[in-house]
Amino acid sequence: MVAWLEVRELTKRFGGVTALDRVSFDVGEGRTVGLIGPNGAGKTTLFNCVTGVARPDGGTVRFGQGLAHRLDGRASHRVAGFGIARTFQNIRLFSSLTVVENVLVGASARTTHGLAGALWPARAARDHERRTASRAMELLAFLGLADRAAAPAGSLPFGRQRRLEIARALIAEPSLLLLDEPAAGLNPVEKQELLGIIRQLKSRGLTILLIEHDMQVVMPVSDHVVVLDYGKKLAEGPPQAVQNDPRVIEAYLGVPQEGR
Amino acid sequence: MPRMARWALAAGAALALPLVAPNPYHLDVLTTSLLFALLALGLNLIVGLTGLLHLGYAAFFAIGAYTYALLNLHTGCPFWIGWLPAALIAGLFGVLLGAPVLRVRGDYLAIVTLGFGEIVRITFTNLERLTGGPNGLLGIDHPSLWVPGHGVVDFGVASAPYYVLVCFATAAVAAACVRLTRSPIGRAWIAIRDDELAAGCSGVPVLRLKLLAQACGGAIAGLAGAIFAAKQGTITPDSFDFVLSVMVLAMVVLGGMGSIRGAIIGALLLGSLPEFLRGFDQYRMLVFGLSMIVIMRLRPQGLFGGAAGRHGRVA
Repeated sequence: MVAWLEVRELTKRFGGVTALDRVSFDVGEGRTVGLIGPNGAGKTTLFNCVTGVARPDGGTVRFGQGLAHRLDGRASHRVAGFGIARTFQNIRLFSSLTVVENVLVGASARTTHGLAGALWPARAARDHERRTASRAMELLAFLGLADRAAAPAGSLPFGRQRRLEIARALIAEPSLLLLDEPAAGLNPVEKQELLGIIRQLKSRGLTILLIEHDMQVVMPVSDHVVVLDYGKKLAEGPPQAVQNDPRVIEAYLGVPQEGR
Repeated sequence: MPRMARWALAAGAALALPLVAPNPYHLDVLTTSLLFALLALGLNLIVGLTGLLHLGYAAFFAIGAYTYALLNLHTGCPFWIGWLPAALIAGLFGVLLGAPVLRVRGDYLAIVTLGFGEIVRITFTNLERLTGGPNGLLGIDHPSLWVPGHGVVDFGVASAPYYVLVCFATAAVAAACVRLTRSPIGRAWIAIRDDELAAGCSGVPVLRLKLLAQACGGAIAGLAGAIFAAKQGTITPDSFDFVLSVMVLAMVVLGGMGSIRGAIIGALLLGSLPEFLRGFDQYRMLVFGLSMIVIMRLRPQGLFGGAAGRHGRVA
């Protein structure tokens, strides 16, 4: 297995709190890795350190063919430029843009933002825009949002907003997709649809790192699971093994004597 | 294309106005309002689209005005050339101010930009040897134009030529703004305004686009400043005070954040309302303030804000 994302000794502190404490793991090319752990375990902080939203205090994150790109400490748009796209736990759409425009913004890493090109678009730029727009519509169809393409993004119901975030991430044609609790707040039917979407992306060979609380979502799609607790890596391994690991059960359910 | 026809009609009506209603006072009020419209269009890019609260916008207007004035007084550079460096230098100051400042956000950015506006005004007041200090600069050339059959005509203190000039400038800037908002740049600006973090993660070069917004907004104010200086023939630092920045901001908010139509209509309204209200005599500004409150109470999103400002467009 070739490592596509390599996290080494990643550390992030917020004042006195160590949100990530020397966390290391690999994500293999084409694999789906689940990142689980109780609330406050540092999962989203890890995503933030990988995507340039937060600057880690220590450790490295490498990515891509031959792990050639260092991600830690880079601006988030540069990380996006390497082919990494993400969604957010608390949905972060561009609420005054339409649904399809939200998706188009997702393609920003492959779009030039020149002033002259905006005022007098060259044929090539117009073609690019047209192709991007038609790909956006394809993605919206894939995610069942095509009928609302022209609606303001803020007007979508919650479950569809989650899917719009995935569409916005996918248009960048990422080689690594980070999903932050994509099933949170979804009803059982929507969860099943989400599973279907993730499976399809997997079958296309996309590498996925998935934060999820819902074991019924994370276990069936993950090839490998990493467990975080209090900022430390508690365990990792195949889903079945992790699920039965007494330390993991303890972290999730707690042991009465320890008063968690 | 009915859209084009509407625009053509509006432009035709605007240009025909001096022939129908040649009252120089009315034209002068309109010219001033249209200068405000230019400023509102520029500030709309910064505040309305990109969401950067800027309280020192008058500084760019001042930089444009002084650039043209100094160029003209020292080199005799005519207006038709001088407006370009005025716009460019004001735009450059947008970048120079932005580079260190745009890392602060929200309220803090407002305070820093407010400081910038004051610093520029105070600098022009105190650089007496260069800018004439509080007395300002006098004897700036008015634009002149070669008209077939009349030879070179100086705009002088007439009203109509400036009105037509500002009409053309506003139309050109508005057209450029429309193009910008429909381009990936405009989309990215709105994305930054709505959610900067998500915009960055979507690959939007946030800092670069914020600087671009400041540069474009600054350049438009610089152009307006050059026209203002050429029209007045005299400029003093107190024409570019904080109240002007706030007025232009009020126009953008009244018109509806991010809306181009809104910026123009808001500027025409707020620019000419004080003149319409002359009948109220000393209560004029009271009525002016009250009408602003009423409008914002009835349409908090601004006249063309929200859904009315931007229709969903599938490219």
